[in-house]
Amino acid sequence: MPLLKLDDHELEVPKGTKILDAALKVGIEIPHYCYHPALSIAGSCRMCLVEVEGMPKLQTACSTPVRELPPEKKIDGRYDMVVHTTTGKVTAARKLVLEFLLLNHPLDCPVCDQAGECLLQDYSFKYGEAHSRFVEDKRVQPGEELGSGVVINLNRCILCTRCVRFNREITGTGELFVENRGYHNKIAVFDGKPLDNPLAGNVADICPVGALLLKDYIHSTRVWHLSHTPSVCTECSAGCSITVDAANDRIYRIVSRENEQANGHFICDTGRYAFHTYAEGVLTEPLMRAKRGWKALSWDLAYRTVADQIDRHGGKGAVRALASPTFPNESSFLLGQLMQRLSDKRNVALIPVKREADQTFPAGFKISGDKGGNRRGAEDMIGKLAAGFKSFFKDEEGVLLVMDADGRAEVTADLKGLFESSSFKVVLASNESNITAMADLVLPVAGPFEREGTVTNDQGLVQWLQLALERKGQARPAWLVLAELDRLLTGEASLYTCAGDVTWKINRAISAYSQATRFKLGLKGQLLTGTG
Amino acid sequence: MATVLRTYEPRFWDRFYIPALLQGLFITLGRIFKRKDTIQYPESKHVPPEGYRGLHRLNRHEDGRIKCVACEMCATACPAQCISIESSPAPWEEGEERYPVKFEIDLLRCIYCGFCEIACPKDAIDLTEIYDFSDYTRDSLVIDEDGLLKVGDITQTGNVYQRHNRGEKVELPLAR
Repeated sequence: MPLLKLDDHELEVPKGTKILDAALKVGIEIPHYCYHPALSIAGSCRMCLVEVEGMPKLQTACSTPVRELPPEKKIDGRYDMVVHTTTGKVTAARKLVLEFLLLNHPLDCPVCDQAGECLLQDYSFKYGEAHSRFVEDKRVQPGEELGSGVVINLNRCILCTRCVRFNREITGTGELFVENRGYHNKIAVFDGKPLDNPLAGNVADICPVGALLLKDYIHSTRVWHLSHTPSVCTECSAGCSITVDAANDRIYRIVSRENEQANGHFICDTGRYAFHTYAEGVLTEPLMRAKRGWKALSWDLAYRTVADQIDRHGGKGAVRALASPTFPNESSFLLGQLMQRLSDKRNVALIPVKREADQTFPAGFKISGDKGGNRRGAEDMIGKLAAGFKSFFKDEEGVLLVMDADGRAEVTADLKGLFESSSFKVVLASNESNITAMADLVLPVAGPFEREGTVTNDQGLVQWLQLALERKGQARPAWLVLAELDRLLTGEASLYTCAGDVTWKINRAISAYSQATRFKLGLKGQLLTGTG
Repeated sequence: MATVLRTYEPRFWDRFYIPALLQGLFITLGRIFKRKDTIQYPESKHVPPEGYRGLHRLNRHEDGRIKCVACEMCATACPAQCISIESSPAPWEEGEERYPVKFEIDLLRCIYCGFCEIACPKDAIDLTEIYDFSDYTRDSLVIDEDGLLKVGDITQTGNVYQRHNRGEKVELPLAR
C-alpha cells in the first residue's frame, strides 16, 4: 500500500484513495464544498486545493488519487506521495477561491437561513479575506420554486452541483441540471418537470450554502437556537438515523444523520415532515368516555378504573392486548411481560398498520412500505404474533389493552370486530387517532419524539431513540404506564426508574438483544446478535 | 489592627461652632447668585449626553417597512437575554424577504449595555436617550414591536427632551 505523507501525518492508504478521504480519516481539515462522501466527485468548487510534491500546480484533494511509486523513485526513499495542506501557496489559493465564490454572493447572512451552519461563513472566517475587491454590480437572479417544498435562491448558489448529482445518482430522477453556460450558469429544473421525488428534501440538507431551502423551515428560526438531538425515524421500518432540531419545546425541522447501516446519509420526505402530524390533537390527560364526550381523570383513578373493569369483565384471564409496531421495544417488552403474568393464554397481538409497496432507489436507498417502524422489535419482544389475531382472539367479552400506532393503524374488519366484542377498551396513545375514537379509556403517553428506548429496523439494527421534546401535559412514557399497571394488577413488576432500566432487562431476557445495551448502541446502533 | 496616628481635636475657637456655621451660610449665600442646577422635573427634563443608552427603538425604511430582518443577532448578543424574536417570510414583494412577527424586549431585564445595536447588521435597533419610562406592572414593561417602532418614530426628529424643554408636546411611549 502506498505511504502517504500528509502534512505531519504518515499513513498507508489503499492505492487510488483520494487525498481528501485520507485527510478526513486522520482529521486534517481540507475545506471543501462540492465533495460529498455519498456522491460522485465533481471537483468544481476548487476549494480543496492542496500542494502535492512533484506536481507543478495545486491539485484538488477530492479528485487526486494517491499514487504508488516504484521503490527506486520513492520520495525521501519512503513516501509515494507528499501532500501539504498548510503552505503559503495553499492558503493563498484558498483565499482567492473564496473571493471568487463570493463574487456574486449577496452576503445576506442576516436574512439567510443557512447562517450559522454555512460552509461559506465558516471557511471565509477561517481561510478567507475580510474584504472583497469586486466593485462591480453583483449578479442578481430571482429565486425560484423547484417543487416538493424546495425553493432555490440563485444568488447564493456557488454551483457545487451537489444537488444535481444527488438527483442523478441517489434518486435517479435527475430533475435538476445546470442551465446556461459560464457567467449565466444556474441550477434549474426542466420546464413543467418540477423536483418531484420522495427524497427531494435532502437537497436542502446537502447544499453547503443557503441556496436550496425548505419552504417548511424557511425564515422560522436561527439554527444556533436549535438543540440537535440524535434520534431515529420510526415512520417506516427502514429506521433512518435523524437529527431532531428543536427549540422552545417545538420541532423546527428534522435532518438526516449519517449511518451506513441505515440508509446512509439521507432520509425521505415522509420522515422529514412527519413531526407536523404529531403536533396536532396531542393528548395531555387520561380521558374516560362519558355520556357526552370525554371526562378527564387523574392517573391514579385511570389505573384503578382499568383494574376495576378487568375485575368486572371476565377477570385477568380475559384481558387481551394489541402491541404497537411504532413504539420502542421497551413498551412492547413490558406489555408482553404484563400479559404473560395475567394469563397463560395467547393474549397479545400486533395492531395492524398500513402497508405500502417498498420504494428502492438506484443508489440503494430504501423506503420501506411497512409503516410500523419498529415491527421487528415488537415481534422480538412479544413473539411472532403479527400474522393476524383472528385465529386466537375469539369474539368474547373482556378488557382490551391497545397501544396506538401513532395514527398509522389500519382499522380492518378484524380489528373492528375485536373492538366491538371487547367490553372495555383501554388505549395508550399520544395523539387523537382512529383508534382513540373507539376507546373507552385513553391513557396519554409520550409522542414519537418524546420517547426513549430502543428500536429495531428491518435489517436488525437496534438504535437508541432519544427524546427530543418534553412530554406534553400529564402524558407519561408508555413503559412507565405499563410498569405501573403491571404493579397494580399483578404486583410482580420490577421497579424501573428509566427506559434504560427496561433496556437492561431486555438485554438479559432476550438473547438476540444481549449486545444491544444502552452504552454499546451509541449513535450508530448495533446489529442484533446473529444478523448482519 | 488599625493604628491611630492623629485624631481631630477641636481647637479653642472651634468649640464655639460659630465660625463653621458662618462659613456654611456664606456658601449658601454665594449660591443664590449662581446658575441653578436643579431641574424642575417633570416640567423640564434633563437632557442626557450624546450616546446615552436608554429605551430601545426600531427603525423603518423610508417607505415605512421595518428595517429589522429578524436575524436575531441582537437576541444572540444580548447578555441579559431580554430580546425575543419570532421571524416569518415577509409579506412584501420588494426588499428583505424576512421580517419579525414578534419582537419583544423585557425592559426590566435589559441592562442597557448597547450590545444589540452594535450587533445589528441592518441598523434596525438603537438605544435612544429616553430614560423616564416606568410603570406599575412587569407586563407593561415588556415592549413589543409596535411600541418599539413608535419610539423610533418619536425619536427620529431630534432629542425628545430638548424638544420637551422647548415646549413642544412630545408624547412619550410608556410614560404615565
